[in-house]
Amino acid sequence: MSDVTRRQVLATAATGALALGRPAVLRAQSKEPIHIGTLCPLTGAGGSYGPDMQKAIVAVAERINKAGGIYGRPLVLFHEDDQTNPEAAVRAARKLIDVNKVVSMCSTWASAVTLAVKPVAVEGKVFYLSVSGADAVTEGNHGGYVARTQPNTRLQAQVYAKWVLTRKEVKRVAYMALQTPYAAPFGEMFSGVLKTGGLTISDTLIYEDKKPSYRSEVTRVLATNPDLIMLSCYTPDGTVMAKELYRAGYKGAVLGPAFAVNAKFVEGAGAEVAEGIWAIDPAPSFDAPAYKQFAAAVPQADKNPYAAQSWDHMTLIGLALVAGKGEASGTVIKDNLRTVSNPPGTVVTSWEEGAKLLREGKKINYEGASGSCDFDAQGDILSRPFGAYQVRKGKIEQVSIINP
Amino acid sequence: MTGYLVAIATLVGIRALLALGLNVQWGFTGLVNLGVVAFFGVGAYTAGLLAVAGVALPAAWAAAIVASALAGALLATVALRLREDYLAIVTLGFGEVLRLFLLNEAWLTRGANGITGIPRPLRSWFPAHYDLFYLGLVLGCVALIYLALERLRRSPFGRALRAIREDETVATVAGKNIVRFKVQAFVIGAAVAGLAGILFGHYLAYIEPNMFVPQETLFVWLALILGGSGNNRGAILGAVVLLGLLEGSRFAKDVIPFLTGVRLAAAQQMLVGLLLVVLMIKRPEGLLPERAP
Repeated sequence: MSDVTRRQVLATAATGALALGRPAVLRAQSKEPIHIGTLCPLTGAGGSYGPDMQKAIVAVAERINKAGGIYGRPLVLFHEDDQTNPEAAVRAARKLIDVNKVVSMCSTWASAVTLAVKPVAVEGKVFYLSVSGADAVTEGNHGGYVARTQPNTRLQAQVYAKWVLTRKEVKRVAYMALQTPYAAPFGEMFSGVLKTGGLTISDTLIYEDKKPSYRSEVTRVLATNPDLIMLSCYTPDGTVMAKELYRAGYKGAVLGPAFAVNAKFVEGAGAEVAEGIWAIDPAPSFDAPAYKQFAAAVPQADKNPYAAQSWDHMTLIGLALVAGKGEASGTVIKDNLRTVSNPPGTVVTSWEEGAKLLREGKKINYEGASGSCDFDAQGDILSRPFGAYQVRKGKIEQVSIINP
Repeated sequence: MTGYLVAIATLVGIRALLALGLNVQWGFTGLVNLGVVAFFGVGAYTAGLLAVAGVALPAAWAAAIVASALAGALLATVALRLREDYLAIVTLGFGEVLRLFLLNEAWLTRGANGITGIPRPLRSWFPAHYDLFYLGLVLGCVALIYLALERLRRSPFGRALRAIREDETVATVAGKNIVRFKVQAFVIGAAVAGLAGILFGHYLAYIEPNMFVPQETLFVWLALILGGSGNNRGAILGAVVLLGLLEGSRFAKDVIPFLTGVRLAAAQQMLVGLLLVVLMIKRPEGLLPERAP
């Protein structure tokens, strides 16, 4: 009996040793490779976004390697699943940093995960990019090792509120939000701007995930007679909520984030229920050259706003490494991030273009698939286009672009 | 590599404490506690909130252990009058109630934002090898709790607990106050889980409500059943094997070339599940079955 256990222990140890001896995921050149870790949510709540995010990162890394790598040094990617679980993500991050010796990690999704991984990355001097929205992600002293391409709550809430103010028919607004780290701060900012604009906030309600019915929530909010309901949701709870609102006979407008009001949402709620629902999101710049390259390389990812950000993560890391003259460390990347992402400099839209100019000693300003990718000192992006969408006859159509 | 192994060993130590705590409740006394994570959470949150508020760490930690023990006492006095399966439901419910409390009572718990920047004890004393020190701290706690619980297991008190587990009627006839013994066992287990919570919070330096989901309780149960219910060494070994499987499969997937993305993640979880099933078929009583003291 004990043989079985011993064998299993040996097998595990052997596979572990093999893995260490053979990290050839993307082997191209013979010079010493640069290790990068991906930490996308392949399972758990973020599981519908993570796989495409990882694909985008792989696609960029392959392009970089095909073009000769970073001064001849190939990129080698190590993939871990953050499981949308902070503790599991910390273990995975430790493995990436201590075993795989990555110099950078990218694309965690959930704010809680990013907040848990952040101290590990900062302590390990590993440059860390995420798509998380909570304000705390970039707060505090992190030495510049943390940045993100998702606009913070403040910027998002202002954009939503300003859009609502352009709708002259709206006088009373109710805010309903799924309980998340940004539900409360978003609500405060959003309501604040609307109140200054002269509108009335009829009700504010934060609700729990995974409730079988939201009837009591809907009844309470509708009793306050809103003309517009701001529904800060994810797809599963948003679908249920939209159905409840429809059943309750609500005729006013509904506004949600476009990452939740997506094709799956329309499918789940039904075209009739979803008809006319508005959605806003930090839009990928659909007309930007970088976005077109991204959409061509990762074909199914166009419905996934985070995959475009992951594309930019890998490109930015690659460019910062080139700016560091092929020297690879988290410190080099964080020191060069703003050199390659922010003005002044020639606008570039791909790694190849940027790397060429950098080698010629020129300044560059990367304009990405997800936006202009200009970072402030704290690691937040400065601005970015937002898209306004509406569900029309079962299809999600872009109505306008909002530049904050 | 060392840094990674130290990190994993630290988390194994924390899981081992949880399994040791549950062993007092389930292994010794036969109490089905499906709310282990609640006491883990009470410990982590009490210590974290007090530490962030500037309370000296020893005081914060003592308060956290007392809070977990009190929560255990409260729940036990109410729930232990119920029969086995009802106790399971009540404790499971308690775990979820606590999580929702942490999520929604933001004035006290900071809600979904969680607590960031939990100070790490004696950080400035160990500028270079802090993680090693912390591992030492965790392993020290495991050793201390293990020795204490071994003593408890051999004591007349431990015998009484086992008697209650085997046959409550017989224990009653022998003149034992069953409810009192059960409450005591439950409180000890809860306090140990609270200690694990303290170490967890200060290690990650960040906690948030959704870290304390029922799945965590499940992992503790898995570790205990795998290692051997009723055996303290089994509880520790179970935690080692469980996290060993989870982490080991991480490396296994690095060498299987044709799996990508989601498939990798799913394969990893399937592999862990499969190994657990095999172990349970070959070793139904756990790796280290209970032995009479």
